[in-house]
Amino acid sequence: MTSREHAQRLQLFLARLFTSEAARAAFLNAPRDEAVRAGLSSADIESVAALDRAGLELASISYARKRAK
Amino acid sequence: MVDRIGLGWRAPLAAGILSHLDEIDVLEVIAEQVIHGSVNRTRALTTLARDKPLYLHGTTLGLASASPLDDRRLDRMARLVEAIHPEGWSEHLAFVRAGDIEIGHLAGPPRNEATLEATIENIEHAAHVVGRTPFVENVASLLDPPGSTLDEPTWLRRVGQGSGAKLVLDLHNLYANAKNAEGDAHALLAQIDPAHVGLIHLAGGRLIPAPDRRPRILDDHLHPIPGEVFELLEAFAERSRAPLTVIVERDGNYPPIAELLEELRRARTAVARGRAKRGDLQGARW
Repeated sequence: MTSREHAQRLQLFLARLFTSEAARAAFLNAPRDEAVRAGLSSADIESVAALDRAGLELASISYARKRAK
Repeated sequence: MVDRIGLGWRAPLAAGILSHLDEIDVLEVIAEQVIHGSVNRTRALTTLARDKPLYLHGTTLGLASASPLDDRRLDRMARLVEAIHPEGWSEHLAFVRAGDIEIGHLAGPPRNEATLEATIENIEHAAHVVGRTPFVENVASLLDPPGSTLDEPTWLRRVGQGSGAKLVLDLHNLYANAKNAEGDAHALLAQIDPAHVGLIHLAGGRLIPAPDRRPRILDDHLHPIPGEVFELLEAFAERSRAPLTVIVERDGNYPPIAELLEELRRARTAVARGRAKRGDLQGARW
């Protein structure tokens, strides 16, 4: 898999986290398992496992309000 | 040298803007509001663009997507640029969709070599389709994008170097990102090369509570521009050698036009102060 394909997978993974409460809950419960299931690279798995959870929650709320407009 | 201070055109502000055009040097119009608006609105803006420098500002292309851009959206932007003949057009360095998922707003991209390469390709493609290279804007983010191996100033600089696109330096976005990461906005600004900046945006947001009890700044464009952002503008004006074009953005919770015109005056004062400091340092160059 190319680095571009990894980047596309990571953006798709983040887009799911931002827009799906179920995906977010599954991720917060088992971050590495969900990242592995999404086919992320090993570096991206470690990076998303360490992401700012409060920031993720706030960003998701903000995006949901934008989509609702 | 002529610095210009302008305002974002929004329908609820139209009457106030038109009656105070002599106090506004430049206007910026949200492209999607025209694309999805009436033919009459396009004609009115075309007429306005003949009298006042005007920029088109896109919000939905997602230039920092790791995937190719949507050509239908690009075609619509190209037709609008052709119809209105703006002084320039701009878009955000964000991803707004992935696969079949629409995020609904501007998400900060993971900053790494792969997104850098994809973003440069997207900008070059957009320039080819629209016929003019866009100005590209740094975005605010409530979380540092995972998958990032480059810091924001480095990623922005390399996007500019690789694509030739000048930056729309949004000082509130820079301020929010610095604060949200518990960093120093002035230190971040010092890493932005003024030669890579084509436009400046100013806006306001608000502090929001967070589950970890560390409040974050939300860049909602619904509140007055904070004093810290005017201080950043002054600091940037001190470093910049080129004329500045500064645009105040407000996207709701609209105050009376007099309040927005006061923000333009504060921006003008901040730029003048920065220029004066540079004059003190470097003699009569200005």
